[in-house]
Formats: sequence, C-alpha cells, structure tokens
Amino acid sequence: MRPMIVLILILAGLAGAAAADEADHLGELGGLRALHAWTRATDAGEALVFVEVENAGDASVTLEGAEAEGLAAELVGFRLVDGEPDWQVVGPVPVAPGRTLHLEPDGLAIRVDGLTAPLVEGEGMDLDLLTSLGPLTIHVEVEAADAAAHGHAGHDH
Amino acid sequence: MSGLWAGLPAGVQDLALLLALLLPPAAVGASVLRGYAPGPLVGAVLRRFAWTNAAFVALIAVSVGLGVGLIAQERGLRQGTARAADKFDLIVAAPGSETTVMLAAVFLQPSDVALVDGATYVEIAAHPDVRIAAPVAFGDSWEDAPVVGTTADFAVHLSDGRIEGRLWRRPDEAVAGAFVPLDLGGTFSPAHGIGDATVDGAHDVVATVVGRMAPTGTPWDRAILVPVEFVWSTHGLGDGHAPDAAGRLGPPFDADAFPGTPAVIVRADELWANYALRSEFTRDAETMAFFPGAVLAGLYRVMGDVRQAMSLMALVTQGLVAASVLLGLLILTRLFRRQVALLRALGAPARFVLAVIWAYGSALVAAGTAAGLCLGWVAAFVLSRLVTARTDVLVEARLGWPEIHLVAGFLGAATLLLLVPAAIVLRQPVVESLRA
Repeated sequence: MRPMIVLILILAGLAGAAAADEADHLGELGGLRALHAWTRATDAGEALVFVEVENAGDASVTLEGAEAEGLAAELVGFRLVDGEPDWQVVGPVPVAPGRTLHLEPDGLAIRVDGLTAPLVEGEGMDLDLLTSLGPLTIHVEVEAADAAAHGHAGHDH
Repeated sequence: MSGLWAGLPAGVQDLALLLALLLPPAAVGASVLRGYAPGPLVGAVLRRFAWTNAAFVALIAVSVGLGVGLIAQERGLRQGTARAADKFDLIVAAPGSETTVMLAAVFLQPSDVALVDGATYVEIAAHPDVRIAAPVAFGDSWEDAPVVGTTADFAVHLSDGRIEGRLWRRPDEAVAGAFVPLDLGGTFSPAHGIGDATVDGAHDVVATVVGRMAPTGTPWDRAILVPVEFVWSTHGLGDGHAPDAAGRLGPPFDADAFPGTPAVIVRADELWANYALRSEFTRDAETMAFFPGAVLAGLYRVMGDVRQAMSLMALVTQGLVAASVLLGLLILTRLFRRQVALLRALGAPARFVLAVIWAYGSALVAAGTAAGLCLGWVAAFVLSRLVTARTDVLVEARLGWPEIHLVAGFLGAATLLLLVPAAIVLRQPVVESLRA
C-alpha cells in the first residue's frame, strides 16, 4: 500500500510541475495564445522579447504593443541598414484567425527600453501584451545572451 | 552614465571618442613644447637624415595603410551586399538552404534548388497583403549575362521604374541590365546553361532588347530580364497560363499550368505585412520564407569574428611598427648624439632637448600616419573596383570613423611612447657623448 501512495504522490508532483511549466510558457486570452516568450540576458537597458502568437479565435486580433516592468514596449522589425542590423518601429500587427505570428530573432520583436536592472539568464519577467482583446500577461524567460530560441522551442502546449 | 552615452547621437559619440584618443598626446605635447620653439632644429634634423627619415615614414605609412584599407574594405563589402538585397524584402522558396536560395535569387549565382509549385505560388500571389509576387526562372544566358525570367512588376520595382526604352509587350522582348553589352533594338539568342555549362544553339529562339534598366549596384546590372513565360516556353514547359489565357504576360498564373519557380520574390504594401507573411509562409516541409537581409546578417555575424581578427591583426601590426619606430628612433638619436650633447654642454635646458627629440619623433609618426591614411584610402578604392568587377556588387569603400579612430589611437599611443627614447637620450652622459 505504501509504495502505491509514494508513486501517486510523485506523479501528482510531476503533474503539478508540468502544469506550472505550462502556465509559465503559455498565456491565453479568448482565442489568443502566446507561447514560449523569451529574451536574452543583458545589462544594456534594452531587451528584445520574442514569442509565438497564435490566433485560434474566429476574428482577427491586433497586437498593439506591450508593457513590461512598468515600461512601454513597442513592436519592432529587423532590417539591415548599410550592412548594420537595425530595428524599425512597426505599427499594430493584425493576426488573422487561424494564423500564428512568430516574433523571432532577425524578424519581428517587442522592444523593451529603459530597463534599470540586468536580465539574468534563468530568471524571468512578466510582460503585458497589448491586444485588441485587451492585455494578455505572459511570462518571459531570460535565456543566454547568445540564445537563438526559447529553451522549450518546439514543445507542444 | 552608460545611459547618457547611449543617448548621444552616433556622430557625437564618434567625435567624443576621437577627442578622447587625441587628448592625452595633445596634453603631453603641449606640456613638453610649452615655452620652446624647437621647429628650426627639428627641421634641420629631418633634412640632415632625410633618407632615413623617409624610410621610417614609409614603414609607418604602409602599416597604417594596410590596417585602414582592410577595415574600410570589409565595411564596404558588407554595405554593398546589403544594398544589393534591399529590393528583395521577402523570398518564399521550397524548404532547403536559405543561403543557397538567396545567392541564386539576389546574387544570381547558379544553384540547384527545389521549386515552389503552382498552388503555393497562386496562394502567395492571391494573399491580400501581397503587392508583388514575382516568380523567377534561371538557367539560360547570353555571353556572360544570365537571362532571367520574371514579371514586369518586378523589373519596375528592381529599377525603381528607371527604364530607358520600355517594358516588354511580347514574350520575345527583353529589358537589359545597365551593363549588358546590347543596345536597344539589339537581338540575342539565349544559350542553355550558364558559365562553363553553357550549351550554345540549344534554344532556337531570338529576343529583342526593348528597354535598359538604370544601374542598380547589383548583379542584376549584368542580367537580361525577359518575361518568365519566355523562359518557360523556351524549355517546353508551357507559359504558366490556362489555355483560355494563352499569350498573356505576367500574373495571374494558373496553378495547374504553372511549371514551378525556385523563388517567389514578395513585396507587401504595409511594413508589418512582410513579417506576418514570413510567419505565414514558413511551413514545415512545404515552404520557407525569409528576409535576405536577415540571412546576410547571419553571415555578417560569422564574418564578424573574422572582422575582429582583422582589426586585432591591424592593431598588433601597428603596435609592432610603433615598437620598431621607437627602437629605430633610439638608434637614430645615436646619429646625432654629439649634437645633442653639444646642445646640453652649451646650456640648453633638459626639457628643450626633450622637446626637440619628442617633436622630431612625433613629426615622423604624424607624417607616416597621414601618408598611411591616404594609402589606405587608395588601397580601399582599388580593392573596391576589383571586387565590384568580380562580383557585380557595387562596393564603395570609404574611410569612416572606425578608420579615423584606429589612426588616432595609433598616433596617440605612439606619440606618448616617444617620451621614452627622448628620456633615454637625456640620460646619456654629456662628456662621453661629446667624445663619441
């Protein structure tokens, strides 16, 4: 009887950890899902946040911007200017029903400017994604300074 | 403090860095030369050992010129390739290597890539956010010029509408790139293949040049643009249109009749749409969508290590040259050891002698650095011409702030270090030097 109880407790613990992990990696508002938000460790005061935004609803949803750490953040797009990387401010971006928008390195991103504390690998911060449905709070993982993707990229949730 | 620095305009930061590099040697020079006018004596020393001095100046000039030329050339190449990709906002292709497709579509390098099928092309072209969805067809050439099939919309976009003559109205009409040796009204028969793999006479067709694009600074300047239907029909692939639209030029194409294209060059009206389209057409095992600029940025990141190595090599080389100059100056001062001793015996203050030696060495270093800057500019100019001729990518290497900072850093460090041989000369016993 006792081994069975131990096994149940272990499984319950694992399930709880998985649920917490799921909550950390996924934010949902209506039919809008924001998955695997991440940024790079930095002490530069500026961070680019990447995330997959999936519109599982029936109507188009517009991403308007974001807020993090009490700071306004904006949607920016990567481009090359005279051979140097540059990020230009992009206006609100609509996500059509059934579509997924990838905010990823060398593409679209959310730029948070004015951070006063360094972002340390392994830690995280909360970010409010401002959408036409309202704010969607997501947890942003801080990955290595040279990371190219979220540590769980490719996992289903 | 770092926030204040980051908030300054780039030009102000560059100027501030230049001043910071030049301030210490300027301060040392002002304190060494204060109250003295060693100019006539320094001029006499320069004239007395003119050939030796010229050799020192040449040594410094070559060292500085190499460093400046290499760094300017690397930046010019980076800017040139980035400019060449400017007109290619987004490319959709079959899954594979983004770099290979980019080299084929942007830089017209012959490559074997999978094709995007008709259904996918029609989906891209019909997307409400897409303004231009240009298929391309490669594989033929005339002399050294690749013959590229595409749409009239893309030809206008690529040349910003700067086309002498007119666009094609028939399948056998062409628009030549700026540097193609064909006049308006000239005819050509495309050969199958490009370069060594060319098979002359494989296509029994002739096309007429009716337009010429203004220079774009890209490999497309040496290409001949023809309607994509011309390339397809030349290869027996039909014309991409449904039977009831036979003879039509340009989109819309028919999904079933579409022979396939190695890349679809996409342009959207809205800024954000490019990013959304990239997400939408990046599909596992179906299509890949990418920004050529992002692929280039990835290559630049790899090249960045090489750039840093080059910069380090330039610094080390200049450091070695500075050390050689100091050593040489020590030896050189032995040539006029007696004159220095005589000056001191006549009662010249030690600081005056120090000022003479320091000003003499600084004159050599400054002349060599200035000559090196000119030499670097010439080297970058010549190298740019060579690279442009070989790649057809317009490379314009100009001297910029990084080169000016490098030169200022070298000048500053060398003039500070010149105090060492000057001080050593002062330590030599006067009587012994007079007898030497």
